[in-house]
Amino acid sequence: MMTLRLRIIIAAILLLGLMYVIHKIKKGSLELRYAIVWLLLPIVIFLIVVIPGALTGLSNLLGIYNVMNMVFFLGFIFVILVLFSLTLAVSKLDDRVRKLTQKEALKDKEKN
Amino acid sequence: MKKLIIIPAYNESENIKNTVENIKTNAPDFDYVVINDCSTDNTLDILKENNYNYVSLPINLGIGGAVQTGYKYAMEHDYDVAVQVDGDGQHDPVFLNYMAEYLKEHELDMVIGSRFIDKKGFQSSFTRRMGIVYFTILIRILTGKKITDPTSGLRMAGKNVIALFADSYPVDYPEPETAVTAINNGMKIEEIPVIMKERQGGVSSITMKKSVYYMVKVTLAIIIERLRGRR
Repeated sequence: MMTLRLRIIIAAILLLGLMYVIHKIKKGSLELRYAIVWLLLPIVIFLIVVIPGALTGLSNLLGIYNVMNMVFFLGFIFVILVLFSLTLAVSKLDDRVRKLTQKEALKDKEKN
Repeated sequence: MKKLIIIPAYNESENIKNTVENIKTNAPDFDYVVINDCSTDNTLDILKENNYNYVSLPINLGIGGAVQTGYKYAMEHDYDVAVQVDGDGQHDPVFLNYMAEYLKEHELDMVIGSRFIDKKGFQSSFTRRMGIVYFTILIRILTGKKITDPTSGLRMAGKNVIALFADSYPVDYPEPETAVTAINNGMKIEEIPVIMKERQGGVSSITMKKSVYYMVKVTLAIIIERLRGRR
């Protein structure tokens, strides 16, 4: 089981994180397109942690005995997903930069 | 027939002049374009000073991106064949005319210059040859085609392959992978015997540490290329 103290700590951390993400989006340094997952996740975890019984119910459903293990498991899956989406984004960027560079170089050549 | 030589150059100030002059003398029918891959030495100055034909990339793209720029150039200027000649002087331009004629005569889409048909000239080290044999076998299994020198950088592309490579080309270590890409897309490929020299300056891009990456990356690339099918 999760103690009340732990619930409060986790909830506070999540709230702070959420505020930070929103702050970054407001400032324009985080593109909303990539931020959606970062916005939804704290909300989902927040709900799971705050609603009593939700975590235990979910653990039972997945067949995980320890509630904390479930938190780690979900967190781990989430991190993997985010990392993969980042790799995708980097690959796409890489491709775009390459095309742009080549186009620019060839255009530059034409001018001379 | 319009023929182009693509010379990718990254920090080749020692060799680039020799390479270009050698091409001008020994392959006068060919136009050439040097792709300066944002060299940090004075390669660009040498290109300017000598009034060579070059395209200069504003950021370093690595060998794949540089060579692909050459294929894009070939496509823009409507060349019939394009061939990559490295700036390190390993490839002898005297073979180029023969390759172009061979390509035209046999109506091929790509001709690869192989060191291992006549087994003359620089034959590479034993360990590298082991790697090359491995790729030959892998490509044979996956495509049914025997390429004796899949890592050869001396490859002449016809119009179809120029278009194919201009559209997509691997970022690094492109040789074995692009051979499979071409075969996969129904291109007609053949090898002809050539003699290569030992590099005349600079160092190989494939060091001992990188060779593991090379083997793994190229193996995966070939398999994925095969899975991908026709573009």
